Amino acid sequence: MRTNSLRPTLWAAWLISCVVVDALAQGQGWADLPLESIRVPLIQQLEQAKFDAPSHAELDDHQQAAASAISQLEQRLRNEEHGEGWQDYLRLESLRSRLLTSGPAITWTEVDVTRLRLDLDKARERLIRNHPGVETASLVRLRDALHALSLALRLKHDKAVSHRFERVRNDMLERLQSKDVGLVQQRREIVRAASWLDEFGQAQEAVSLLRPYCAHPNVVVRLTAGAIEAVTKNEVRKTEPINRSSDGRRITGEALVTGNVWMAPAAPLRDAHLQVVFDGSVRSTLDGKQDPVSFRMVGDTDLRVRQPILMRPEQFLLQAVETQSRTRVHSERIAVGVDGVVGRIIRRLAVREMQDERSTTEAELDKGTRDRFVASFREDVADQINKNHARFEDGILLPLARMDLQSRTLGFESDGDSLQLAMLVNGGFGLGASGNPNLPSASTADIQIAIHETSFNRVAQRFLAGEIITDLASLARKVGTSLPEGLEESALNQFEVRFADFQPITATFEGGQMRFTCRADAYRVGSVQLVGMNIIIAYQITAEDGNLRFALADKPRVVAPESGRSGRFYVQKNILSRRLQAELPVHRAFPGFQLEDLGQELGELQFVHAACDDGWLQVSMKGDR
Amino acid sequence: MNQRQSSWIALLTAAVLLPHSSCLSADTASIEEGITSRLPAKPIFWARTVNLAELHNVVPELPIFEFARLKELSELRVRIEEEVSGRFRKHLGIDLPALREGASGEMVVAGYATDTGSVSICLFVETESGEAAATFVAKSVRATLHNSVNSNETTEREPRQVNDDLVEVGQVYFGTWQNYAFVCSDEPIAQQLLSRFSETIAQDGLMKDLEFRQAMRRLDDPSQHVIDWYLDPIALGVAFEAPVLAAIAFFDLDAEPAVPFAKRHGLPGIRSIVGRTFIEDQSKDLITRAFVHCPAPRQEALAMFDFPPGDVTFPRSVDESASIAGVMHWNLAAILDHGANFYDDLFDAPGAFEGTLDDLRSALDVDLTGDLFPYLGPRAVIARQHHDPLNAAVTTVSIELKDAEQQQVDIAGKVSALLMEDTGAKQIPLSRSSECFWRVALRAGETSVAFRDAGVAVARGRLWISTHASALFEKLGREPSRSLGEADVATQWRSKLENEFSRNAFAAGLVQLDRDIRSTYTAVQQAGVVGLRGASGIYAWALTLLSTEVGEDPLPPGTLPPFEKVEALLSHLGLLASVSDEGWELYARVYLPAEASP
Repeated sequence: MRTNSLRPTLWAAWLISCVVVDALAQGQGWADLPLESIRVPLIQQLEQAKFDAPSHAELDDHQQAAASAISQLEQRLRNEEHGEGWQDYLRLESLRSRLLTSGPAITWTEVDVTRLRLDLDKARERLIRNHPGVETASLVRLRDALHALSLALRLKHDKAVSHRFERVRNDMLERLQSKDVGLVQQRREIVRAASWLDEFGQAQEAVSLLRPYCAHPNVVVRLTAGAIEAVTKNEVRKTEPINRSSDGRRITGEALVTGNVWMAPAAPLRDAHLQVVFDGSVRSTLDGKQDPVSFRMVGDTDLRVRQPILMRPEQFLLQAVETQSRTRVHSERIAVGVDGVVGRIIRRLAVREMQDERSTTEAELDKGTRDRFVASFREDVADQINKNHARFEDGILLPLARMDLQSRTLGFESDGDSLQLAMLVNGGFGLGASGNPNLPSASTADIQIAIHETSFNRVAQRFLAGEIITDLASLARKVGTSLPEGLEESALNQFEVRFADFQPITATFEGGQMRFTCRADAYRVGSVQLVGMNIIIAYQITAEDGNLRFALADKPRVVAPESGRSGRFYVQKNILSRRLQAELPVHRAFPGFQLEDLGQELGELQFVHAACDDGWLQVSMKGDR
Repeated sequence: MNQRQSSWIALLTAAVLLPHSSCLSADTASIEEGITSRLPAKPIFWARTVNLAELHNVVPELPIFEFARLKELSELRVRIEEEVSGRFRKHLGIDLPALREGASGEMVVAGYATDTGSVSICLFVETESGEAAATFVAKSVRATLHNSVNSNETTEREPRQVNDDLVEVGQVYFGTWQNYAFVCSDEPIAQQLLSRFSETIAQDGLMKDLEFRQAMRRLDDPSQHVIDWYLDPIALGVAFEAPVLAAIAFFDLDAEPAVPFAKRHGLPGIRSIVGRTFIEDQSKDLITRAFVHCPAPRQEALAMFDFPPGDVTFPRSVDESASIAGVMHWNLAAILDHGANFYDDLFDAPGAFEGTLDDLRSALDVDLTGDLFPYLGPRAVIARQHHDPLNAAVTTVSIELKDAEQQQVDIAGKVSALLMEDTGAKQIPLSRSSECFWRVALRAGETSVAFRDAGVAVARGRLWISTHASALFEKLGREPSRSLGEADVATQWRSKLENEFSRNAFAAGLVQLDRDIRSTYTAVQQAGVVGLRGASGIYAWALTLLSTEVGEDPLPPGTLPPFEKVEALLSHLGLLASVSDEGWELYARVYLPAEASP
């Protein structure tokens, strides 16, 4: 069996589709949220919720934890090859001295707190990079400790946070008590507000009431059976020598294995997600000799082997192999080394004996062939599956962990027609979707991707809150990607945005449109400085002629921030909106593309379906193979 | 034009005005006899001081420089001189001691556009002889090299002999012509100058530049010149934008070779700005006359500034205690009519102005062009005075309302509608319903609030805007005390500007420096510049900026002499702006207040 036949490019396909996810941005989402059943307790919990600021003792604990995370890391780095480089990169020494010289929290002045927070945030930012090593436990521990301390400092000293808490809570209460609570938009805002509470560790009882309903995966990638088969299917043709003795007979010969091997989603209700299937036959040619008789027998074994695989994020497990086989034996030649009558008698006896033994021989050959095949098959599959798990880790899990976007839940599902990976991408905080995407039938596509608006919101909150972005390229760098060609030098690069701390960008996927609301405290357009305003941009998304098309749904709108309009809002609003009108692309089409490596087997992937509804953006692609 | 270049200009001006004790004397030469006649046409700017050495004798006699010469300030003076000298050496390649020693006659500075569109600055210093010029150049080259050694620059600087007449050190080009030494920041320009100098008769030079000649002809005061200057603001604007254009061209090869500045609607109608600062022989007052040449009919943006001439005396509402007072006539209808294109161009956002007017109409029910601006009178009055309870300088602008008796209620309503949902504004209820009063935040930049508690009011037939709401509230609540117009300072001011009133004045102003800086001065005298932290106002802002730049308090407590000692040296400034078919003229006279003059 050619080992590369089992080298599925599944993960390559996954990775590339995740890039597509990066580049892009109907079913059940918000409509599913059973708000009515928890509305009353939720209101009660919110009404009782008080702003929860850490005590000085708790701050001291956080400080201790951060200091100890630093010294543990330093200790570990001491013996590492690149330890010194890491120490310098993370500025551990100055961070440690800052933490040690700060004294107990109760003595901190406002200036101390500001400086400490700046240092913590800078160091933490360096721990959020897609750079190998960042995911190591001791670094992650440090990152979490710095995050916890920085958050505690904000809660304790930043008045804006406690004010925001009041606003968020009151806004939630108002929506919950309003008679429009059933509207999707209200539910959406309630979950957004709860995500903020979750991020800042506030009103946790209320958040935990919502969590069971809104912590569903918000990124789903589905590969259909057809696509998996196309990518992994391989013809097998292989010979193996046979050399054994049976009942004193020496048997030599060879086994010729022919057939196909491929992967397929496992049928539901089985304890597996994926299966590697072999369907083919083995022709065993056996030459035996028992003086004076020598013979050649040919056995044809029809063989179907399924190797089910249970996929867990931490490991891919091989389950028990299922086999089906049937062997038929016929003798091709019997020769007797004695001439004459005696020879003829011996030959007849031999033929009869072999006929008498045929069923035993067939059973033995069947079992032998099957066992030998399964042993080598399992070995090959195990080897490849381990490699694939490593690719899955390197390609998906580790980058998410490094970018501090680790998924709270991540799982595989299979329904026989497709294999899907579902993740709750939120960096350990915030809520997700309240249901599953209602992807169109798998038979029409090869790869389907569904992104819930909450994943977008969390990524924006993680990377953009309070950030100053001076051009598109640096924005792209910030989220670990680069701009598509041609966009790098666009006039949009004259924009500078100082994003708001709270919900810097929120996405609403509804009615066929992706609507983004960008909140900023200040803008610079060319050389003009502008006050904080909200920008609303909506794109209609469709799949047409194999392309994914974005069409500006309406003129970009500029509205006053939720906190109210400043004196110069009306004077400046039109400057911003006219500049956006002039410079935002009205249409943009992403053409189909070809995957690399074995993904080429799918041919050129065309966009066959795109929808945007109830919180989900869905894109289906099909290869033209 | 970059920041470095603009700071050169500032430093050149400072150098000309810097007091020192050199006592050289030379005959005053006419402009035709000097280096200007050999310069190329179309300068971006040009400035000339007729006799540098003589200037050094006359300028220090001005009261303001007497102040600078106070012995308490000697240490600061030395520091400033060191700083200025250092910058001259570093950026211009000029050694100030060499300049003082060597200069004998005129000094000219001119800026020309380089091949890349930015500005090259050229400085010409007249000396006694060709030898003196060569000595000056040698000293300057040495100073530049010395400077680069001291500042530990990584790139090694070696003087490079470009040709027989030109030496380069660190991209500064030194040369001589007859008894002139010159320094230039661009090689092609320096070469061009040299080739012009070698011609026997200058062709098509600056003196044949029609605009320049006409501009010079306007400067006809015979008194002691301090400095004459000429500026092509459009060329300067283009030069400012040159780096931006270069960047656009670099990134976008298909882009039209557009000149953004040219889009500024109508502004290129400004031909030139010319000015002369001189000391009046008899009074020893320092006078500056500046003229913006912009012939009528003025179009588009420039038509906005077609201010109607009118009465520029101070109205009764200006309190006698005002340290700054100004009156200006404007035409709001014309500003609105012609402002749209200009506004849209400036922000590169076509339709933005009209959009704003539409938004105000639809969202706030205020039609600026129909409801509000037509009722704002043609005269705006600005006054600034110290408010003792607040211990702050309060600036107030007031605009008379047309048809006030009928319209005030309506206008108060419109102003309220504009401010109603502004998060930075809060209405203060008044007993009279025909009036309104709002506390607002006036911003300086996009983030910093200059005046948190500013005030806007419609009352007593005027629209009022003040930096301090409480002071405005107080002012509106009481009868005006004696007005500035009736005070002696105004009489002196009027007599000082009398000859100019005959022109078509549209704006006038009086700045009483002695009053205006008193509180800031006293604060600095007692607590240093650090004492101004958190204070608002132009002086506090400028001084704080300076101390940030220096990195320490430039005026620690006790450095300045007591205010009483310097009060008599602080001048008044009278300003008058007038308009004619040829353009706008600004007249400024610095004089000592009557009681202090000898």
